[in-house]
Amino acid sequence: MSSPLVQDGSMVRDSIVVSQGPSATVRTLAQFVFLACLGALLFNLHGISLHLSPWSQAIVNAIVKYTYKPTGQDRTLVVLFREENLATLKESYPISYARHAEILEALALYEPAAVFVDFAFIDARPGQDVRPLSDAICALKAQHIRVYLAASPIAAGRGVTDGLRDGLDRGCFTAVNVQMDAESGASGVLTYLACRSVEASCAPREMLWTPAFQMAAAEVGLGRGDAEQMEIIWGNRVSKLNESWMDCTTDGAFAHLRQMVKENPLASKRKCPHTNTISVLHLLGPFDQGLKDRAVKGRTVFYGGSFEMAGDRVISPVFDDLPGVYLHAMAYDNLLTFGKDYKRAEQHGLSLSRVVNGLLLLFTIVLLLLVDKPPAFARRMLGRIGAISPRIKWLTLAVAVLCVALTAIVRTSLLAILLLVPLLIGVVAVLHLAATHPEREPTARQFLWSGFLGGLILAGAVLLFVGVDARYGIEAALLLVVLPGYFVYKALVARDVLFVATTVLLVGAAVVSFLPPINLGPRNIVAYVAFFEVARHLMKRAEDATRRYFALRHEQPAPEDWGVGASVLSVMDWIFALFIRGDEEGTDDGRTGRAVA
Amino acid sequence: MGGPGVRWREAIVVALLLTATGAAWAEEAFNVIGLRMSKVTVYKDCNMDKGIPFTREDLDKRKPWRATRDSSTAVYYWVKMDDGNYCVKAFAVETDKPVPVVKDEECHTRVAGRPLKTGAVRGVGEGCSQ
Repeated sequence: MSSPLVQDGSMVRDSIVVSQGPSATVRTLAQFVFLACLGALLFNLHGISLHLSPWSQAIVNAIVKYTYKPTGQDRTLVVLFREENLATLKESYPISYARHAEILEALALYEPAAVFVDFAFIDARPGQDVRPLSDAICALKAQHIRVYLAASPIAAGRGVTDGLRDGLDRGCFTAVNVQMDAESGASGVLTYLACRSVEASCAPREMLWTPAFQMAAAEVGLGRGDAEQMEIIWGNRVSKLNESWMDCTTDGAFAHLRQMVKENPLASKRKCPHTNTISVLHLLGPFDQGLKDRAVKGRTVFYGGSFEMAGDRVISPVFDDLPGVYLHAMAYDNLLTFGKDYKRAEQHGLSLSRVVNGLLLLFTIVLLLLVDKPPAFARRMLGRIGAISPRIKWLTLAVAVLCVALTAIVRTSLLAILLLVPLLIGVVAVLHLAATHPEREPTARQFLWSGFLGGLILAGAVLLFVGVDARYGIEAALLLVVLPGYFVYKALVARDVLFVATTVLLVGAAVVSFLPPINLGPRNIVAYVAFFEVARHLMKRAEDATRRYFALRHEQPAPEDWGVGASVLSVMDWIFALFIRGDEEGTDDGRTGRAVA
Repeated sequence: MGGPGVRWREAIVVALLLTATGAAWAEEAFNVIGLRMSKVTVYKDCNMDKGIPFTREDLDKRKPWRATRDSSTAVYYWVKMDDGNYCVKAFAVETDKPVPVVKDEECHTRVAGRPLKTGAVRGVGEGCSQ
């Protein structure tokens, strides 16, 4: 051998004893850099998170379904002018000013707190008098009902004027910017602007706010300088009002299963919106005192349209395409539900969101480097945890449980801080487990049993999925069957406890970043878990290739056998050695040590 | 406990009764006793271009002002004036007895859905030949 390989005494293929080459620290650092580059590549250029976002979003939808409070839903109503209503009302598109005026007059009878009109009155219409509309708007104001009109997006973008036509009394309404954010892949629209753009501050008074922010600001105590782009949590609670007149039937459990396997879990979406809705026919029909008390009086009304070939649709991760007015209603709902702790979206530059994404990637990489074959220094350090007194361990566990309990019981804006403690303890526990957990080859009996168990879990999951989906919907099926099924498979069949523990920690980190005071939107945990698995597989393949290389080097040690010079071979030895994980050094406590090669 | 045949007969009878009730209501008159707003618009022959304002004073002169339902929609009531039939928006008037809606016109509506993708918007090409 012309040059030995690994400084710390690693053995390769039982024969090459090395005394030079990269140390364990250098190898760990090199692997860290490689994984960081791979992560940056996958998350930014290849867009692993974009490809996996439907799965992550489906899980988020399922969690939201059972955790989203009804605060905003109870106080929001959409009044929809549908395509079919045109014929019934002997109306044509675009709807006349007189008809809009009539609808606003009808609304006034129901005494809402505020009305947002999602129709932009920009151009003068020959033969139509705008005065009835202006009068209807002013009549609402006279009744102390706040009115907001959609401004021309181009004019609102300049922040100078609302761009609306003459003849509307500006003293009776507030103009708002109805600009919609771009869609995010298959998930649809996930963010909501506070004003013109994310770069510009929304503080100047001449800057028009978007409807949700403008309407909710006073209610939740949001100052002009505090408004930032929102990550919308698309609530998917059941609306009894909507179910009373809409067709809310879903595709069925087998269709869901087929679509989930064929495309993704977002291929089948909900048919009924979360926001309470009535149509203009309900409003213009006989006056309904029950409807007034139950759904309109004191609520904020979003009056919008749903017309064929008119654009103005919003794609969401939860529902089939909805009329655009629902986007504003949902954003308003979020503001009422979360208050000042509404979820902040990703921003340009070094935002908190990007920092958390970077930390999650860093966290995943550290786990990757430490879980399967931890280097000796990590084993030494983490092995010492085993020597800690059981009393201290129990005390630590009690602190963690107390923090989780406090988070669940006490209403505090510092939930994330409390949850950080058990999360950090969890990280240490997983690393300790990784450093001390011995890997065992399964016996023939265990191998057979694992195969049988795997088949059983798959069959049970399919049956349960169909049953739960049919009874409680696809969200429950995903949350209660698919996710636990996969975890059970990984824990019992693949016996990959570290994967399960790592995933739980990533989920914990995502929860912490979601809660106050961090208040970020849901993280794409599926993408991080996928990265964890892909990188883990790549590292194993790289190590296998390294072993094959050194086996060949052992069999054919002469440089001429390789067709390169001795110095080149020496460099190659060094480079290949970088892919060796772990080492043979034992910990202080020899029992916990683990051989690598 | 009846068999399927008995249930079918019951269903048919109930349906007939409901239809008959609806038809009877469409014909049955009631009176408009007040306006919910100071001024409403009534439309001659339900033509939206032929709207005329109608005030509480006008109503006082006509009381009792008989009205009938529109058989096709719950949005309008039909009323008679000197020169013919007019329709008035149901929400805008008070009646002497509740006027039930036989069936919500919006029943089983789909609000969320995936509209067909088109390469045009409303009005493209309209009036180009003029």
